[in-house]
Amino acid sequence: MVKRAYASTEKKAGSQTVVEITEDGLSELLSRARGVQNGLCSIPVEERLIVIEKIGQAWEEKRRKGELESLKHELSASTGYSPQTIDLELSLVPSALNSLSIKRNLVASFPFEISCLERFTEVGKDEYCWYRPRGPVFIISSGNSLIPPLIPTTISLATGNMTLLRPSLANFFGVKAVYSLLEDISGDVAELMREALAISYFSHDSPSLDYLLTKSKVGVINFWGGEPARTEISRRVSSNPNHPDLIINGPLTGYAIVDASSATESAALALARNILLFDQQLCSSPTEGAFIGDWEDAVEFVTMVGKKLDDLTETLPPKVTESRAYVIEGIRRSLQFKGSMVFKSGSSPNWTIALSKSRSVLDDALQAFPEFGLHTRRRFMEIIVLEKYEDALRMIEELPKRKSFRGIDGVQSVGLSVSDDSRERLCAGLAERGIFRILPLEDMYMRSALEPYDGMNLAQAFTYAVYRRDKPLEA
Amino acid sequence: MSSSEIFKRASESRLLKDPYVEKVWRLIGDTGLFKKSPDFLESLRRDLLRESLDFFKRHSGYYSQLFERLDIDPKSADFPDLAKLAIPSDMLRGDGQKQFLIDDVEQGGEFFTSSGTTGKEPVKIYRSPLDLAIMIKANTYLFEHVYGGKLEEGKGIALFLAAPELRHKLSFVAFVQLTLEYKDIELLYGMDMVQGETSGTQWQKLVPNRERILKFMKSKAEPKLLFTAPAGIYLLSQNFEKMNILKRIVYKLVTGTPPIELGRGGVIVTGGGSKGYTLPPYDDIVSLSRKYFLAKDSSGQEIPTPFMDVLGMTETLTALIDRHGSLNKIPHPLSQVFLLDPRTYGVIEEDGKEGILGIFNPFVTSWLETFYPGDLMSSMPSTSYYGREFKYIRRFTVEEGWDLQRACGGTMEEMMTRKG
Repeated sequence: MVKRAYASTEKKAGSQTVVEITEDGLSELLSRARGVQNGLCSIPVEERLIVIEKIGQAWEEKRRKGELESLKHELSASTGYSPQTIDLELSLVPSALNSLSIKRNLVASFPFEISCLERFTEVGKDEYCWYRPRGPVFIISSGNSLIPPLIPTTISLATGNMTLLRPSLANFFGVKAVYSLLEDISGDVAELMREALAISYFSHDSPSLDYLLTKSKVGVINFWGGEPARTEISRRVSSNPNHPDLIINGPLTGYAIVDASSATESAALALARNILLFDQQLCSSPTEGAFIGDWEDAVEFVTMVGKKLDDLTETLPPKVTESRAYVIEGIRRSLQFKGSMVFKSGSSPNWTIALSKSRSVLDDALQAFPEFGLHTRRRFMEIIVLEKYEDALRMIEELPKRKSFRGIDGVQSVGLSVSDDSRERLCAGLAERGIFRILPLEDMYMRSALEPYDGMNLAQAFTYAVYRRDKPLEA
Repeated sequence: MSSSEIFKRASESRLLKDPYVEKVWRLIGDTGLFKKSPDFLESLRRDLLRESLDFFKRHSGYYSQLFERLDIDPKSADFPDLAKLAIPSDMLRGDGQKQFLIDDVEQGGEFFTSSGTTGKEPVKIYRSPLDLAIMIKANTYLFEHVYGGKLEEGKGIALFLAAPELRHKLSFVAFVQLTLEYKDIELLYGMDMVQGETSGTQWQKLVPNRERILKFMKSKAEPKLLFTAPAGIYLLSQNFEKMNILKRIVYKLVTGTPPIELGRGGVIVTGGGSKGYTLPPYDDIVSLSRKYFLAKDSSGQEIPTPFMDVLGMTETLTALIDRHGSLNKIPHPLSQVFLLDPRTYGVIEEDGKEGILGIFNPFVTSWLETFYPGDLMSSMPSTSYYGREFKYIRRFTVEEGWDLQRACGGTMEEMMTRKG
């Protein structure tokens, strides 16, 4: 990936062989950081974004020509997503690299003009700020999907950081394929970006990883993930005498709330789409739902969702294994025998919705199938029929403590299809309970360019502000 | 409880006043069932299915609600409904069976558990005295049918390569002991259970009891019945196979074996899976064992030693039994054995297709015993009373999900794996 070839070593990780930059290689790479970052900072942000945009354009061109077919199948095998889902994901790469979107994000991230990323920018009379790269930034990115690693990496590069990305084994080849397109872009800016970006896998017991975390002069370590890696990473980073910033984006999930007055066909379609997209593996994917209203209304609504799921499954079929079919069938029965009403795809284990009265039954059902944890549940949702909106807030608050949601920190996104009257009250209640995103159910999977990431501003986290005042403050 | 105590308590069961239970009790004692036609038995089982569902509806608020939720009317229920009612055995782990027991379940019975070799909590099943009595009768008659004759009371000797403590844990061991008690046939346990410590955890292991094994070997009683896991007979035979000539002569002088004469009506009955050993195919185990274990038919003519294999599990009151070389696995005439499509979980009607084994035992009175344990089998037409025989294919292996935990929660994959 990088222009320069740093000392590396081949390593077996799971069933794959990966190339890992050695400690010496990292040392050399990091020694160049200041020069590279200064070089990037001297380039107007707009120009940096043009190069990033070009990566997206080149990607789209390759996709159009069908040159990503083998990668598609490789990623399908490594992630467990169906080829159709990977297709969808590949089509979204240009959006993640869209210069206008990134610019909007940067504009929203800084209190002043984005020229503050290039030079001292006046922020008051004779007062200035220059947001400098805090890097090098070491990103340990999230797992299955291809897009999430692109977001922090691109922002890190756009804000002028030397960026070292460690993808997961599942998405490694996808991420690499995206940024390798930098190689074909001409010009000094692209040249500098090539120098600024290194992609390498590091196994958990790698001396290189240990060096990065405990000794190196990286400025920021951005970790996306959960336990037990999170605690281990934190422990190691805390012993680094250079005190890099550790930014953790922990595992989160999504929630859907629908009330009887808004349980329309379009809400059913929206929920169905969210259940199918990326097999609910995104932090924004709703993995449980609350229906506020009567049982009969809920049954009617879920029946509609089922029809939509059947329709959508034709274009986005799941990847079904015998083992998955066995577990899902077992859990369906377990839920049914413990009191839920189970809606399911007709002839195969494509999708499942369990409708439960007043409380979740899933925790009980999991006793027989402990392997059916959150990350194994795909195209599966339990919807709990509740009387009051407050009950839904309580469910969301208690979610991370439940056995069926073990491993997540909390709810990131709540998709709403509720009456206007209740929306305001509900939003306030959700904000009080630490929810990061409140969205329409229709597109809760979509990120606006203006959005913070899990409640924080990544671009600011990857930079530090240099404040300058040329004259004494007036009394 | 001894078999006589079981029958005494069973005869006092209040449930026998229920017409359905009374009918079941009568049928289970009818050995004439094994001579009926497949069509007759199928029709009988259909009737029993309906009456059984009605019985459970009457005796359990839980089942009453469940049938309503599953849209099943006991009066018109049919075999495809079993696909809805069958539960995976995993639901019977720990206290899972509790919710399925009828409201007026009779106390004073026994609990059996699975061996727990899967690493999960074992399956635990309660058997009331009446159910235990049904178990003894049903399995004895099924065994005798496949064996090819009646076990005569007080005749013969049996060796079970298990420890006596397992009688109160494993239902297969209980069934063998109770049946032999019922028939007044002497049973020797060929193993002892030793308590031991390994890596700081308590565990139990079986060691051979040479004295009792020798007693069986030297016994002149006929028939000799040897009950064992396939690993047991394989290891014994392999032990003989590996002896050098000198050792074999000495062994022969001391024990009179090998070969081991099982005598007229002698049989080797296997069951219970591999028990953690890597074993050769069953056919090879049989061939090897027949070199060292000899048997005769009722007229005294030497015959290839009969092998019967029992497919039982904690959660089924009756087993499926085969006779090697002549009959594949066959259930009790009143058991409805069905295969489920591994994709749709609907009942497979045709023979020849692989499916997930499902069992419904309408004669169990404490809970609606219909479940699928996670074994793949296929069926084939048969001239037997059942009209169908079954062949074991393999046990399901279930991915545990750790390898999928890569989304937000699993960026350091190696740390997420259990494989180190």
